[in-house]
Amino acid sequence: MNWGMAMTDWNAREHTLDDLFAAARRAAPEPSPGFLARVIADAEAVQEAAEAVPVRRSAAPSGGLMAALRGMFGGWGALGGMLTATVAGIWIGFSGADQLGLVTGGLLGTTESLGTVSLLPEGDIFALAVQE
Amino acid sequence: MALDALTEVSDEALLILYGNGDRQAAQSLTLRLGPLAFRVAYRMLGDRAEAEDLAQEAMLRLWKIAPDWRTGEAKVSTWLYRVVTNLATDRLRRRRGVGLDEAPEMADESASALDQMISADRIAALQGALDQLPARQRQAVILRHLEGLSNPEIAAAMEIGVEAVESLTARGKRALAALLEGRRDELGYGHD
Repeated sequence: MNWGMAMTDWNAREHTLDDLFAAARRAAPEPSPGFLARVIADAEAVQEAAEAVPVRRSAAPSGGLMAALRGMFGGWGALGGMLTATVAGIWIGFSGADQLGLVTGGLLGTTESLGTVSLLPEGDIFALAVQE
Repeated sequence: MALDALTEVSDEALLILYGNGDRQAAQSLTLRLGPLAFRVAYRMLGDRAEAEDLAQEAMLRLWKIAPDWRTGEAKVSTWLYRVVTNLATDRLRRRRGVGLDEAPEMADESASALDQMISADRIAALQGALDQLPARQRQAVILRHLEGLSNPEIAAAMEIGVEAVESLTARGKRALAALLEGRRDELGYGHD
């Protein structure tokens, strides 16, 4: 009995809600003409801005040369290592292998000439230089 | 204004045309999607001025995303439902603490005089009850019962599973029924 009453109540509630939803759908709120005009104005402003941008975008990557290099080689750490190796290469190129003792002498504590040193020494001097 | 020429074009095609600089596409999309954005915003917030402001913001996001729109991934309307309801949910969270007496009244300026005479009270009562639902339940009920979306469409718009949608709509309807229970006589439903 109570169950029957409960079902009747539930059906009545469902019917009420369905009717209210239907009424609300029929009387859907409409925006003002001013709203539509503002939305169209926004659309045109964004279009105009987009049309002006491509020239600047293609002229140079945003952030400049360093940002582009950083992105290309994988961050500041990799770029720092490459710069160190480059500077070391320039130094060796200008001063010759004979002068390499000036660098390695300080690092390794030896005055041995490196003019005939193996190209693949046991200790990686560039790695040590970078760590330093 | 030869807008008729674009009536058969899909929302997505119009958005791509817009992204390519087509001015007419902007107008067609605004007439199609602007009212949708406003309607949902209004039903979420219950305030006309705030709803227009929010719908304009959602449409602005659509204009900005147009050049990067990835075809075939989502319906434009589903994307817009998501943006509008998320923006509205954010505003509702910020609005927490508004008492029941301060719940916005239904502004019926747009309804016809006949509609106002017949159903304004019922619509206002429903809006008043919707305003009291938790945001996610409100969102699901509006999309299901007022916008007529399917559960999978709502799931896509709300970025949740279909079962969660079913749960939210069921709980939302139960809460609405409870909120309106005391007003059934007043609204003319007392002798079903």
